[in-house]
Amino acid sequence: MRMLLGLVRPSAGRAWLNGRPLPDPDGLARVGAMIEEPAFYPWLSGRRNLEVLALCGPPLPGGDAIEVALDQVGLTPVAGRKVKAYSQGMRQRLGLAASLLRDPTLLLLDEPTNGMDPAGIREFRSVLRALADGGTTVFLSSHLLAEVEQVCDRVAVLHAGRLVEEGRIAELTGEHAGLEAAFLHLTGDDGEVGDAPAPR
Amino acid sequence: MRLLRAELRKLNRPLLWGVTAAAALFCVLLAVGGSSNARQEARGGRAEAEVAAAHTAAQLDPLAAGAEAAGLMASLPGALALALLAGGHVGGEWSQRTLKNLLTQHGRRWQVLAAKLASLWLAGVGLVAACWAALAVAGPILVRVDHLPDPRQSLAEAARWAGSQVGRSLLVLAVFAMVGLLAAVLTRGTIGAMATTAGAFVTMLVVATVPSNGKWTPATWVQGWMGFPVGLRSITDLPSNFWSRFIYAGGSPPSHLLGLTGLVAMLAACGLVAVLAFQRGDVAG
Repeated sequence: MRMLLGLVRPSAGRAWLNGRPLPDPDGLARVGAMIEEPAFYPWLSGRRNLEVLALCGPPLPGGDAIEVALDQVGLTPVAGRKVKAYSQGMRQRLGLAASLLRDPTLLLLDEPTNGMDPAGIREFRSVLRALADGGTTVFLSSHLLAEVEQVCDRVAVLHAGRLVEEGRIAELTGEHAGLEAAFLHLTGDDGEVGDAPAPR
Repeated sequence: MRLLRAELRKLNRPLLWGVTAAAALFCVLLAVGGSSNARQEARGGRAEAEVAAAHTAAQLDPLAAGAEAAGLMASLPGALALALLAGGHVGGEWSQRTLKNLLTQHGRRWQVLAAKLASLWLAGVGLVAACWAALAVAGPILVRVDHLPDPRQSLAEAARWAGSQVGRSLLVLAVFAMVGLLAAVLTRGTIGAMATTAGAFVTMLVVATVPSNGKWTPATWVQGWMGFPVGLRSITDLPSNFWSRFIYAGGSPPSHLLGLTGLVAMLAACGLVAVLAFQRGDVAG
């Protein structure tokens, strides 16, 4: 994901983002991203942080894009507060708001629900669903497989840096009890071939 | 310009206001000491001391105080202030892990660096303005309180003196900002950037103390370009800078032109290294 965003230089290979070969600084304008724990300038308010990020790229699609993004993630009431006073979950929401600023066609999210409370996760899920239904491609990476199962249409399983399997949830889970069981089976971590000592 | 506006908004932070207040206070305290010393020296009635006291009064003229402010900010105090700002403003992007946000919004890294440099330089110019304003307020009060003699300095002379030094300090501040930027790119952190930048300036001065280095050190280029006098004046005088005091006084300083050439070359070389290092660096964390 960092390579797609131009944060890390690939040692080999090629990649395309929205149909354009990388690196493509102009292509980032239509990509929203939240990579791991989002970080902001703690001495600025949530709204001010978004204003700064808005100035860092091309002009926003609408004059009220910041307010819309804040509203989408439910941060409008606390947008004037300094980020240093935000909880982890609020920072995650602000990170999502930042990634939505430019009305992206592609959203890259890495562990986006870290630190969010259950109500926040539920809201987050509905925001992602609405974005996907509206035509935005949401690319999400997570270790929370129950979450992935609830949110995603298609799933790719990576193990030791390699793509093990990819497909719709129903195709992957098949006869397994759920995505977690399917994942453990696909990666060989389900204990069937393992040599871990049996609990006493 | 949008990137620069973003950088300036980020600079509006407690660190900048603290450094600005400290720099202004430093200038005023220096003026208080210099003015007081000039009064005590002049009490003896010696002609030399009278001339020195008049010179101090001229330095504290509200308009000419621009030269004093520029001299101080284009020397060690300004260098250290910009080291602090470079650490917080540039190195902090790595320490606080905000760089990834910035680069995912704007993928052209050299432009990000250019905006950082321009904002740091503007902060340096702001420091000169703040120190000038503080001295312009404090100077006439000190001259009156310490009964310093009339320097018989015309408005035009004062304006020329201040304009020349402030104008020259713009290039030196750009070099200081570039050194801070390079240090931040290489060390990728707040503390590392601050320490490395401050260390670089101290090293410049140490290298310039070696007599054989003469005209070929960054410190002597600054001295030549700014026209800082060679050698130590009395420790009790109000200093026009904190730079030439540390440089070997035996040789002749480089000319304005050599100073200008050296500083421009240094600016270009540091900028090139910073851009190359930043373009090649991965952003982790």
